[in-house]
Amino acid sequence: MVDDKQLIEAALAGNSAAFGDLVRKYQDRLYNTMCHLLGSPEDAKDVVQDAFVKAFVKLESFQSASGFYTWLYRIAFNTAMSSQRRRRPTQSIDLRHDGGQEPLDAGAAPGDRLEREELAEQVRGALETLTEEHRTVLVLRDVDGCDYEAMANILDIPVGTVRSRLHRARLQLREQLKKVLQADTT
Amino acid sequence: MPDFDEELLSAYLDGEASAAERARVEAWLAEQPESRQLLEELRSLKTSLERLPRTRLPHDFADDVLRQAEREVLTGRSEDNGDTRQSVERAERQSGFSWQRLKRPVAWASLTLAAGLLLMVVDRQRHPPAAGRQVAMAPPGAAGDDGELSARRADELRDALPLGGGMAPEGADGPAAAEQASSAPNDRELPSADKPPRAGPEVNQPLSQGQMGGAKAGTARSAQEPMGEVEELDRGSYAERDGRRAGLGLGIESGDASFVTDQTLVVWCDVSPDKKYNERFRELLLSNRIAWNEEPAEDANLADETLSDTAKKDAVEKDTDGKSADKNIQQPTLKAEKPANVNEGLGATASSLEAGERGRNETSPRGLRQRQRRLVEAEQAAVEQNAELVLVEASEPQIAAVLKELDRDDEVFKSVDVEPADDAPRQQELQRYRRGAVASKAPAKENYGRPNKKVPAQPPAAPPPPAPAQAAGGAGQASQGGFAYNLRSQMNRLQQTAEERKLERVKQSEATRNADKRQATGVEEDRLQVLFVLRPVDDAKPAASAPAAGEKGPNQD
Repeated sequence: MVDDKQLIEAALAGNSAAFGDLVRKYQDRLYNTMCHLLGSPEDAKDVVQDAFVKAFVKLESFQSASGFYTWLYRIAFNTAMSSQRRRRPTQSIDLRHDGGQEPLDAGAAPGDRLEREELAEQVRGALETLTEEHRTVLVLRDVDGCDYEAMANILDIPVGTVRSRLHRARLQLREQLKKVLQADTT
Repeated sequence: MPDFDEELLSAYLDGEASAAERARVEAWLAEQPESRQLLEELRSLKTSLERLPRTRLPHDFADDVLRQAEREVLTGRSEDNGDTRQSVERAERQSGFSWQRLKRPVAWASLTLAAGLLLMVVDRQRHPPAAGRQVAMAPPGAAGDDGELSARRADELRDALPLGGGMAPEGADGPAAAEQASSAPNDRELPSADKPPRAGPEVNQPLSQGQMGGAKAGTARSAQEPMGEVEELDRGSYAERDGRRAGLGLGIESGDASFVTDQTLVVWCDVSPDKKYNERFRELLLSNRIAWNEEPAEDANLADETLSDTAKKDAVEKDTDGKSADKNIQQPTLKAEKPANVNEGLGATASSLEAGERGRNETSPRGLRQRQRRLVEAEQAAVEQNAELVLVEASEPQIAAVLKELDRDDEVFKSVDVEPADDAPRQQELQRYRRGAVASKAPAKENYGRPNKKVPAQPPAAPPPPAPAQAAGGAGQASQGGFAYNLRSQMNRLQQTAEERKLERVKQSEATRNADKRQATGVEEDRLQVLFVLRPVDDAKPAASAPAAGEKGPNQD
């Protein structure tokens, strides 16, 4: 499989298809992360598209020392933060009503699927109550799977800060989830 | 392990703990069942997040991205790192699309757009949207009024005229502008029967009698016209030009304060917008026997008053036979001596020969423009600040009385600033006399930094000191003051080099003119032309619209 560096070099040489491969490689991952970060599939799609366009335009300024996805995610994160100031009211990520996208686990058994969707809804509800700072680290780590180093690069903070912030975010999410579960049982 | 850091649990859970940290965590968990419980809850939480449904984008999303990316590169919208050219080249390579093919049509489109914008700006300058303009005249026989425009005024008007062929080479307006001006729709409102050739090769042609008469007629008519309704003057059309300039209240264009002369005293008044300052100002003028001349019937008087003895006599004849040109005005000396670009239609003067001499010396295009700039800026600033312009022509005591009353009424007239012509010693004397009272009314203006120009009793031996421009940066300086300062600072800078020579010559010529005038009329006093700029200024935001000190005024270079 062609790695990112080769694709970038090919794109810089004028092969737009190579950049298309980069887009296809990372578009879903970035989009999924942005969906949970922004809470709106439409906003997430706009942000992801803008991020890829900016990456294309600025590709020559990309420093290969950092990973392409880290660089791309940073662009997307900054774009998301800018767009959040003027975005429309947050829409709940309801995959059942999101005709343009499809859940990865659509093939699961109906019972399991309902249970998962119910739990997912509760987790999302708790996640949305967190501060943007806490939600971001949780999404980056547990939804997107970034390691601490990548998170530190993306957020431009020390690794130690990532560690402590992530732990506090988890404690906050646990408390919020307990509240949600208690509310559902009552 | 009392100092165990609970954050290690998350790092342990994520596999981000070092070997030593893992050992510490495991030892801690072995002793602390609550920590084991917490770790399990965190693990469950992590799993819940990892199992959140994932979503996909459509397969053609990448194609959409590429299309938009190339479009962005071509339009340069996303470029902020200065790498536009490289990106464009890259996009061209990628898409097979050549920016070169777009260059020419885009360039033409840009030029067309720029030309359109330029026309809009020029058109706006010719039609000042908000500034009102009025003309007030002291009637003959008013207190201190000699009843006519003196020979000095006529000479000054003549000397001040910046238009004509002499201006053309350096002016911003080229032949195209002149052509455009000549086709201005308001030409019909100006005397056109004797329309002479425009500036250019004919600039040295003498002024015809008909042209002079047309000028006077223009004076009378234009006094009733709203200023913004009169279009740009054909630079070569002496009669129209005279009518526009002498008629006051006429359109102004960049570099051409044609509605007043450079000898006009400018008085800036900041007024309370919620007060009826217009009525108050009118009352103030009337109380000083300065008539509010808005009626057409009085325009003849206006023209009449602006004539010297000879011209006045001819004007009476003109009025008696309707619109006929003033063919009886005889100015053989003026014809012979005066350069075309200082032609004026305000009547024959006893010192026309001198005026012609001065015209040759002082009416170079550059010099004229410099001297006119003060008024151009006053006019344009007034337009921008929704001000009202009132031109007053009255005797010096009347003007002084008006200024005094303005100073007293600080409820309506919040501040008053007097700005004389640089080469008018009497105006400068008036400024010095009134400045203290005016300054006390608007304390911020004390820091304007305007030099209190000295008018030497004798021709100065050295150039006047430069304007203390830096003094304008005082903390208490209001923005209005800054503007006024800027205006003056610019004028000082522009005129500094010529001031010494000018002052000497003006003083000498004024003495000659006064002697001539006294001989002709027996009247000691001369009349002044004053342009009052009434600027409504909000109490809450005083002078917010004017630039502060150090900033450039609206027309500063």
